[in-house]
Amino acid sequence: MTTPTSAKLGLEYRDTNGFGAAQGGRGYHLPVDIAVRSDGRIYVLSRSALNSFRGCNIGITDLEHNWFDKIGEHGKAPGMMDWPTAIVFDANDRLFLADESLQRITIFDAGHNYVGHWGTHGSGDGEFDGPAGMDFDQDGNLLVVDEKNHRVQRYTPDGEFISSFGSEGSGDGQFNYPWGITVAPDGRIYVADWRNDRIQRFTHEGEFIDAYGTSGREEGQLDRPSDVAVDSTGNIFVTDWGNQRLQVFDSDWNFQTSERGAGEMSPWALEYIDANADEKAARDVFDPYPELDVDDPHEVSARTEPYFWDPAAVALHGDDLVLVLETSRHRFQVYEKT
Amino acid sequence: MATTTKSGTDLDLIAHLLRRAGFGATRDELEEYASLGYDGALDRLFNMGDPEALPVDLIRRHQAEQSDNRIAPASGSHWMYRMATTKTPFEEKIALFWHRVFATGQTKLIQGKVMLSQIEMFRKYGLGSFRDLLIQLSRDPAMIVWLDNQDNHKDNINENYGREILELFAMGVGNYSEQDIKECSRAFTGWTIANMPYMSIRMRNNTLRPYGYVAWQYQYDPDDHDDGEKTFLGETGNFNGEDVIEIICKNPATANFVARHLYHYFQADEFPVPQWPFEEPKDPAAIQLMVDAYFANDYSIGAMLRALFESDIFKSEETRYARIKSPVELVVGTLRLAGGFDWPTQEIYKATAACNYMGQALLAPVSVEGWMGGGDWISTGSMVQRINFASGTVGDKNKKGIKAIVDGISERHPTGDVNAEDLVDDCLEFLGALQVGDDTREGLVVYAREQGEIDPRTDDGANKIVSMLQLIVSAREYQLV
Amino acid sequence: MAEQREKVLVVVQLSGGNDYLNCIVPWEDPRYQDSRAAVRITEEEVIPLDNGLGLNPGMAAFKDLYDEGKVAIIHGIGYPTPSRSHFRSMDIWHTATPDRVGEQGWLGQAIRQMDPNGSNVVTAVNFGNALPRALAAPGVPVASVGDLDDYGLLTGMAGAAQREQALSAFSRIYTPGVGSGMVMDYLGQTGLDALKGADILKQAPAMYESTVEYPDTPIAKSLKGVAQVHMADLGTRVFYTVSGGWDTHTNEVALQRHLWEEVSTGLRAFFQDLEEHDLGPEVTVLVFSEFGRRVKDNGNGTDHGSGGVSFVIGDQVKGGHYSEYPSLDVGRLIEGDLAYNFDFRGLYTDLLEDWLNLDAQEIVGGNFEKISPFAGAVA
Repeated sequence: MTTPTSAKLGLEYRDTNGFGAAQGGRGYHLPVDIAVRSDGRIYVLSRSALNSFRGCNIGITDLEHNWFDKIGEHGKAPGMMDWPTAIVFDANDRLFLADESLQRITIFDAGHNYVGHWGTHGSGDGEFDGPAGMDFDQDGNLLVVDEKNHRVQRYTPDGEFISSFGSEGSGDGQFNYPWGITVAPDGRIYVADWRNDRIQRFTHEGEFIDAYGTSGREEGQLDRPSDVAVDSTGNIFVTDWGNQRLQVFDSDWNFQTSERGAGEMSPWALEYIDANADEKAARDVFDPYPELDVDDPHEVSARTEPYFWDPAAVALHGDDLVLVLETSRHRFQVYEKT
Repeated sequence: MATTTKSGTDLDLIAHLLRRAGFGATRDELEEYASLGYDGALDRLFNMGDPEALPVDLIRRHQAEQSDNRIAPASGSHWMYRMATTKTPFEEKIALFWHRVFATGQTKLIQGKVMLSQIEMFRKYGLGSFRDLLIQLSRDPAMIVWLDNQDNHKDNINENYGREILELFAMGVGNYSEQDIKECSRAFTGWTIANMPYMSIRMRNNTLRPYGYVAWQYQYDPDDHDDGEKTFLGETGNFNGEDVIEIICKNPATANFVARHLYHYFQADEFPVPQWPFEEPKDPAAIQLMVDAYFANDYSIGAMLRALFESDIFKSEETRYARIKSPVELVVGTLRLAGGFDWPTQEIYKATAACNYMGQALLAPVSVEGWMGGGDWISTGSMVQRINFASGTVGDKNKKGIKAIVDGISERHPTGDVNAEDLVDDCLEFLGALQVGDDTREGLVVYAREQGEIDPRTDDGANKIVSMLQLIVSAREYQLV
Repeated sequence: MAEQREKVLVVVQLSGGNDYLNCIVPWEDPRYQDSRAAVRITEEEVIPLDNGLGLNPGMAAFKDLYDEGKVAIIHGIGYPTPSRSHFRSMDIWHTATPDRVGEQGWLGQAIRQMDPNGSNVVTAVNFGNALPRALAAPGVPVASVGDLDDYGLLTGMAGAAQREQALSAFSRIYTPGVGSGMVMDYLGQTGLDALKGADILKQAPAMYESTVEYPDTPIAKSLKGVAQVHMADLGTRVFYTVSGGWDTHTNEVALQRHLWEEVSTGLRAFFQDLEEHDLGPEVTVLVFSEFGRRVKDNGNGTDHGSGGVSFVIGDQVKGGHYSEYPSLDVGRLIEGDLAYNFDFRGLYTDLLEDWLNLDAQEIVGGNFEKISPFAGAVA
């Protein structure tokens, strides 16, 4: 590993994309995952509320705020989703969708057509109980975080079980309701070990390398990390969900920077404000950062619109842009590495 | 026919206490509390400690709508989880009590998040000094906006909050003048929320756009506060809200009013609140007991309730089953008997909806006067909902609590034959030492006989036990607390 | 059959705020086209009506009813100082008291006038689990039916025989005994009334026969239930049904069309069913929503507004337009909303006085201008 250079990695806010769309249409509703296709288009998985299903779909946009419609809808039939958790593309732009209620992985082809699904509920080899995060390994096989079985399983893209690693616990290589996963450009596997407040790192084969994180709110500490992304130089981006922030580490876990969020009105939001003149006038005197009498991060985010509120996923767009998806604010923020 | 435990404690009395100060109890919980003795059980109830409820992070991750808690089913269910799983039920009962007295509704506020913050405040301050509670209430963003105090300005007062704190929250009609209302309102000018114009208009337009709601933050605006001299309830000074609250709290009318509310909720159904100025309290001695505790303990609500619970008035036989259960009491009590909320589940929404169908939408009382309670809860429509919810919930023998009851009864009858009388009595006991009238018991026994042979070790026997549980929770006595 | 029965009111509530402009569409009006740059019913899509207006493309079945002369369109309906809160606005419609929080539902009071002693426990039947405030009034029994085929007490009992035994046990243990006290007596009587209501309503699906096929939608299922209970002649005078999901801030064009298809086809089947049984003349349907929506779209949908549209539908209704379409002139809009020009309490007065033969003044709290949509009524 290279030693950290003197200059730390920084992040600069670039943009906000999104709009609360509880009834479907352009925007997102309680989104939980984000994926970037090879051509740069951005796919956002909206889970929506469990008892109000219209916003349950995969919305498609790009860095220029174009809207390319959506894939899927709420339901239990093939091609539909109930409690979706994660999306990922394979090398051929096929889209894989995980669903923790239907306990299945659904596949759409590059043209967004439903082509099939697989998955069996259970705790045996190859069975899962709550698929929560996904990524493809360097061989083109799919790693699935099996939340309630506290492990990671590896399958062929067609769902044939290959291997698994991890068990319930807090020791090396053990998990406590893990969530997000990423395969770094160097092939190593990173897992957000959610309820152990740490990120664990494994070899391509699933051998434990190291774990990083202690519970807390201090710089470098973690509280229920949801997801992780790694760039070409090995920098690690962690959505520190419980602390409502993004933390960045170099490949040796040296703390680089932390970002609380700086969301602004997206073009879709501005269109809405233009249609509601009374709100526009009041928005003009709106102070996004009022003085607060609370310090719980969740409550702080609830009261501070620009801040991340429930950052559930992080993705890289190219190697320089970092996308942070916020469930409770129905949007993602774009940051650039500096 | 009082049942006593090994420790000699009156189990029926403990059951009565847990129904009133909690949401009833399973047989195991009863034993646990009874082993402490009555005073020990009281200590345990008053010790809030760690609620050990279903962890919030699990809920937020798996039911994302209970993280922003915008919509009413989500916020109501978020509280429902806590009530259904907490180890400190008295804390929730107190929160529910203040929710009824300080009735605030997200129907107007639109966002449930600020309502849940108010409930959390009730948990924290609900048993403390009434002074601290009223100060917190007056700073509570949900209350401020519910009663328009953000529109209460130095040069143009809005009397809504100033009026209701006197009329509905602390003193009751007849104990202050219209002038007192104005002076009280002046004292609360400048008590507002941050970003008031934007927050107000988004509430008015009822919109989550563009990025969901921004939860409200209390803000004191000294420039909009009327610092002039005020004469309130006979005292004169440059009062601010805190001063007014102190004057309210030391007034005997306040002590009486709060005591009557506590009586109405924990002891026996009183007249509906609007009739209080015209009707004497049903039990002046009980009121006096609590009033004395109020003044002897720095206006402590906890001291008032402790005095009530320790009194023979509360312990008496006539007090038991004298109140009609509110829908929340009925639903939560039944959920706690059935158990099984150790992971976020859709079922919580059905429970919250059931309360709504029975006439008590959590966090959404129809008006500032709250729910009238008593006989108002009962109509043909609500009876169908109450009976079907309770019997449906205990009818699921896969639920932990129900399974435990079936197993418990089975253990008592190792030879496998249970006669009708024993079945009825066992079921009543396992449902939390329930007592029923002779007619009801007779009806249950007849039903049990109709079931023929009952062998609890078999599936058929288990089904018959479950059906008896279903019938018991459909009985009139189960409607009472 | 077809002996003279008492008149019946069926309410269809569209919850969420039906967008008036995209329901009764002024499609030729350039002001409409300008305000609705993104969320517009186009010339190709609109179902032309008359008076320069058209219907939402989802309303083809509704057009059939209109062509039969059954549909009165009440334009610009609303109330003074409009509220854009779903709950508050709906509450105002339910209690007919815009100026304060009303205590009793307008239909609850109507039912009390019809049956002051609550002698028929099914005078009002609500399809849905939650009792709408419109039907709520102290001492007024209302049966709330989630699913008519499965309505009753102790529905969670596993076996049919066991349930029968349990129900008879229920009726025994609810029968007030001597000296059991007021509260127990009250619980007993109410429980037995609930049981009676369930027993009565249970008959309806068994007696029902029809060749009409209802669409497989929630609102059509409710309307079929209305038809079943009405045909069973149980003395029900007021029915309540709800269609949800009209809050079209996003995705409006697709969503509203879909919802109108459900409501329109459901209503058409309902009226065909009544006609088949020669029961049409006894039934009037009120369709309303809590408010209309903003004139200017937000790029993807529309936000909460005020002035809206209601419909009264039935054989005895004089079809056509009532009141006026509010002006789309920017200067005539109120805070970006269509200005209401007809108070809904006038329409309630029509329904209460001229359809149900009740005293309306007390319920709606005064005298309001009526529109007289019924054939027999004096204008």
